[in-house]
Formats: sequence, C-alpha cells, structure tokens
Amino acid sequence: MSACDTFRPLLHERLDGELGADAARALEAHLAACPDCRSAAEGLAAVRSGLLALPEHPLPAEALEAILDRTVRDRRLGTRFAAYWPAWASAAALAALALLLLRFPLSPSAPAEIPPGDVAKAASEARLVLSLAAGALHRAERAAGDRILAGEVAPALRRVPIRWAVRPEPRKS
Amino acid sequence: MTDEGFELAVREHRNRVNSHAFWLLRDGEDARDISQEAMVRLWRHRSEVPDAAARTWLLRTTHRLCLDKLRRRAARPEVSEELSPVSAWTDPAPDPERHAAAQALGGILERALGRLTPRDRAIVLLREVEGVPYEEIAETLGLPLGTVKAALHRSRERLRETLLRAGVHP
Repeated sequence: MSACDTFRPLLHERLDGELGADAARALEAHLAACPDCRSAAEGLAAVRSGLLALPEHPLPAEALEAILDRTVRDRRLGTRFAAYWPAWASAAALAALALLLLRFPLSPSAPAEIPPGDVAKAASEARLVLSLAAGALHRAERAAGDRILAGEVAPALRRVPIRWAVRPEPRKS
Repeated sequence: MTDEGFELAVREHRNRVNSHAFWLLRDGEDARDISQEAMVRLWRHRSEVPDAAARTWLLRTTHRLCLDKLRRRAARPEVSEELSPVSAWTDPAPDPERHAAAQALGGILERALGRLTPRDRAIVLLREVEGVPYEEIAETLGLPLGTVKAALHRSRERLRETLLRAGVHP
C-alpha cells in the first residue's frame, strides 16, 4: 500500500473535522510533498463548496400555514368546541322546547279550537327547530368522535361531563 | 412533545425537510406535499417523539416518504435520471454571490448528483449541505455508521472526479 492509499481516507476525516492532531500533522507533511493528494484535497473542498452553493428550497409560507391549520390550530379550535358543545346542544334543545310551549301551552286555558292552518304552520316550525337542534347535536357528536378517533380520548373525555343515570334496583318483595 | 414543541419543530425544520425532499424527488410540488405529510405525521405521533428527536424523526419520515414516491415513479417511465437545470432551482431573486457559485458548479454537480442512488444522494446532502452528524444520518436512514461513512467518501470521490473530468480545477 502506497503512502497515498494511507492518506486518502484522512482527507475525508479532515474535511469532517474529525482528524486528530498527530494525524493532521502527518497528512499536512504528505500533502506538502504529494501533488496528487494535494489536488485530491482541493477537489474535495471544491465539491463541498459547490454543494453548499446550490440553492435552498424553503417550504413556502402558505404550506407552513396549511400544516399549522391542520394540526395545532385545528386542535385549539376543536378543544374550544369540545369544551362548549354540551352547552350549545342544551341551549338548542331548550330553544326548541320553548318554541313548542309557546305554540302549544300546557295550561287548560288554551283555546279548544286551533285553526288547521296554524297547526300546520306550528308543526312545520317545530320540525325546523327540532332539525336545527338535531343538526347541532350531530355536529357536536361528530366533532367529539373525531377527537376520540384521532387518539385524543382522554382530553375529550375530560371536557365532557358524563353523568351516569343510576337505575334503581328492583325492589324485592 | 407538546403542541408548542411541535409548532417550534415545524418552524425550525421546515426548510431542511423541504430541501431534503426536493433533492430526492427533484420536483418542488412533490417535495412540498411530502414535507406537509411528514409534518402532519409528526403531529399524529407527537406523544412518542421527544423535542430533541424532532429533526431526526422528520428527516427519517421524509426520506421514507420520498423513497415510496420514487418507487411509485419507477413504476412508470421517467424522462431522465438527470436533475432539472440548475437555473430552474434558483430563487427568483437570489443572492448574487451565491447565484454565481451555483452557476459555476451547479450544472456539473447536478448531473453527478443525479447519477447517485437516492440513498447516496441523501447521505451527501444531509452531510455536506445540512451538516447533519454521521450518527444522526445513520439513524435517519436506518443504516450502520460504517455504511454511511463509506458511502459518503465514495460519493465525494465520484463528485470530485466528475468536476475534474469537466475541467473544473480548484
């Protein structure tokens, strides 16, 4: 093995800054005496310079925004929605109930005869209100389901108060 | 990794990830899609990835996604193994000094890079352009350290010989 074969691998170590002091001194002495290895060292340095001079390819700003929208921001939005969805659903249901009671009061003073047109109109409005409430509930459940499917079961459950209905034990006679 | 840690990692490594994808795929649109996919995957796996490992995780995922993409591309005929002309890579308003250097050597290096395998090209670019340590490259690409070093030394020599044959004297 020639001296050049021994020193060529050290050129790479020198380029990587991994050459020890003694090896570096020996290499410098060899380079001073060997034009081929000196040329190789300069060539490797030129390769690095050329690669470093290649243009960068930054991720476009709109792509970064899209990523943040799909991840961190979506979660923040979802968390806020998840925190309030029971309240929204309750409010929608209460509104539906209030409208129904306005149309069909429970008191005995309600008129005995309601014109058929009013009944049809009230039924139509009630259906509309109920469908809106059902839609709100459906969206809320879907959002909560998405969170759970996305592996965020614990955070979603923490924010949804669950009150289990206690069924009374059957009495023993 | 917390939500804040994720956002920091994405902001810090987005250009490195996109560049890596670009150099492997040689297509800006594909690179952007792969970068986005890698970062969304990091989000899904953030509970398993410590902040300090974000760069390696992102580059590894990007690399694998790129290889998948290249395999899909290989299934259909490709016009050329050569990289696109260096003029097409440059920014609309590049730094004049940087632009001049890229023009001087870029055209030759692009052809030589295009002839390397995707794995060797990734090793060269991670080390020479991104300055990623050998150990991290080995972890990123799932290769033994010795294989990474040997591949890098071999690729450097090939690139050097290409410059020499092209009459580029240092």
